Amino acid sequence: MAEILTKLVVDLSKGKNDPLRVQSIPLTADEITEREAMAVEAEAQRVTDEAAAQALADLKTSARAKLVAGEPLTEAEAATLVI
Amino acid sequence: MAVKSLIETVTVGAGGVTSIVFSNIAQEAGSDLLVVCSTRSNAASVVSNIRLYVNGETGGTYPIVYITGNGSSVTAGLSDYSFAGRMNGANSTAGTFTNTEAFIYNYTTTGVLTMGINSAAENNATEGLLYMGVQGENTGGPVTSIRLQTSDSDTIQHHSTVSLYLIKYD
Repeated sequence: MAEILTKLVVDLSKGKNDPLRVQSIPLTADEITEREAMAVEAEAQRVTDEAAAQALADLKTSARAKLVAGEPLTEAEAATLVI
Repeated sequence: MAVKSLIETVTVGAGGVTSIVFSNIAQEAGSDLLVVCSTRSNAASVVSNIRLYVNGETGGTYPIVYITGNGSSVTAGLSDYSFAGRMNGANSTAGTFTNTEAFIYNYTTTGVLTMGINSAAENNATEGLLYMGVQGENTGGPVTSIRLQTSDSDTIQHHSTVSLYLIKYD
């Protein structure tokens, strides 16, 4: 049986003791579609962030190695060391 | 003087939920909203992300200035996203949760809304996890509803709590 996804909805226009103030409601088809799109977007963002972090780490490693060896740095390498 | 008053607290039951919505928020001009979360998700990772949308938005990204870090590195930058912080994932220490505070400043404004976010995960391991950020969001009007939403295909887990506070200034 497929998992039923739900959301918790708090309707603040209802009184504190009103049973309709806090309800667990199954997602609509549109909300499930939105959730699936978010998952795709999240994965793309994760890949982008990881690639950017790795590129920066690589530049720093290269810059450190060149400094130790007394070699000139590229503009991008220098930018990782000097703000 | 700022006076903080609780509007509502909800606790997630067994089975978890994909989102938590506060609707029909009363309007108090010149006041802030504070969302306080203690959350954990079932994402297959140490940490996952939680998003915050207002007024029934179904997506969208916003400019963020952030600083984030874990046990081995710290990163600061600019991004376009809709983060409200982090949540412990299924690969973090069992029974640990992430504490998050999301301030929504002057929420009755009709201009660009500013949110300030502090989020730190409890992990009881060597890897500490932190996210802090400020984002600007054009809501098109006063905030009347807030939705906290998982960022992936995970769910917010049992025993997670979310509280909504009003902060009024005398």
